[in-house]
Amino acid sequence: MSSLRSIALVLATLLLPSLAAGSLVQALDLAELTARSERIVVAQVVSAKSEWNSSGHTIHTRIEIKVEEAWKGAVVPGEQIVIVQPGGSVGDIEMRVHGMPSFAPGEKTVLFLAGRAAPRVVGMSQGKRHLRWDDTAKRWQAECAEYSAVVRRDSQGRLQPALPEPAMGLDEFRQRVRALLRP
Amino acid sequence: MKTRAILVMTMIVAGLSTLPSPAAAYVQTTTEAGAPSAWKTPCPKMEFSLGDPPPELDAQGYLNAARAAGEAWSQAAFDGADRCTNVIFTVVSVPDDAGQVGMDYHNRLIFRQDEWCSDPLPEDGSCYDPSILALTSVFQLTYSGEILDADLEVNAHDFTWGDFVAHPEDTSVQDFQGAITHEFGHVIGLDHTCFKPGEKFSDGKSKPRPNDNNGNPVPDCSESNLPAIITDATMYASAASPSAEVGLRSLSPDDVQAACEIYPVKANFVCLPPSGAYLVGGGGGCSYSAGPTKHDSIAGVLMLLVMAVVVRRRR
Repeated sequence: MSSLRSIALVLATLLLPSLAAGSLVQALDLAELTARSERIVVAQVVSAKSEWNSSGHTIHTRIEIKVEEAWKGAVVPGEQIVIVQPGGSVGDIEMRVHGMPSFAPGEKTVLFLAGRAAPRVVGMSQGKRHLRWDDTAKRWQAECAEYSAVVRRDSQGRLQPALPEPAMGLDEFRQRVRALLRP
Repeated sequence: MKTRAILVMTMIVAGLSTLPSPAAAYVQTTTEAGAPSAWKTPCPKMEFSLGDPPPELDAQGYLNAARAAGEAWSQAAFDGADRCTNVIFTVVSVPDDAGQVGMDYHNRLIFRQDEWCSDPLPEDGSCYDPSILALTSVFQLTYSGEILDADLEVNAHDFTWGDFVAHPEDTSVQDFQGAITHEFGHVIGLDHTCFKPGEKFSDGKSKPRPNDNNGNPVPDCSESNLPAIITDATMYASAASPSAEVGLRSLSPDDVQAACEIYPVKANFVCLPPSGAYLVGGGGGCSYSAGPTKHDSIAGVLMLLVMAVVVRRRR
């Protein structure tokens, strides 16, 4: 029996997991994301340019987006919004801020934004849902947010790793957010 | 019957160990050019701004916690074996106004208490999202992946940081040591263990799916696509320790494997400053001072012994 226990121990050791690394950020479910956002939009990324700040110490990326749909907040389709976030790449130097969402020109995405004068993505990568055209289903698919840095507090106030909100079709995602916005 | 059961179990174990197991592995950060991120020599010296720490612990308490976090990586070892890595974290206390996040060859550990914003405030006035507990910024060379500088900011404006082990009854407190151990993993170049399809670099090129250390493609982060082993991994962290946060204080076998494979123990190891550090401060002066390490001391003693033998033979 002790041999079996030993083998089970070996088996368990082989299957030991690793906790994903990341900056640490509180998990926000869709209701919290929606509540914390001043604006929720479907947008296309027009440009994403990285540059050193004026002191030459840090790199930030200036992301320009063009709104295609407005789900929440005072914003209209066609409006352009500029988001500035830390991190990016200039020349040979890359400043990686773990957990920040990445953007690429031409990309279509749902964004949960806070801050009128200086918009930021809510909950780091949680507030960005990349949209992918599913050629088989002939619909836009809202991909999972990158969740490796995300933790939630349990009933005892302790941090536990959190699982991502599931991927879903854009239509369903829109309906869910709009349902949350109803008074 | 017993022998047969043992045989069957052994075969299962052997079979499982040969299966690709992307989650039971580690992933090294890569740059936009695809180079794996790592220090030239893994001797990050963290400068901890402790002039006016949050009230839950005193400055020495926070310093001890950060040093213990560094030790977890520096002493990485498989069960019962000697340490298998050359990682040497040094954490020193510096005055609170000592510096800011930035590419200056000074690795900072900073509490943000008055506001959760970078210092100085960005030109557009934007601050960090209040849901972020701690933020790690790593500066690296895109073409080689060499890490040059790493800074950690801890959100003490929206969260309370203390010692959850000493005070488990205080459920409003985040465990500082656990969080910093976790963040130090980033400082030495570790990345996520799953991949989000569709992510692109700023120049529009799609991010390639990285491989883990076993050469297996990293699986999608999408919940529906995750192999059971990854979801088990997340649950394991919840179930295996009284608190995932406190559990972060000790390394998982994969973390140990990462530290020991990326930075294996080498003979005559000497800490070197990152590329370009000699040029900081103008005129070729060196601003980097990792300080003597145990390895340096051992190497120094060996060098003295060799010199003594040589001198004796000449006589």
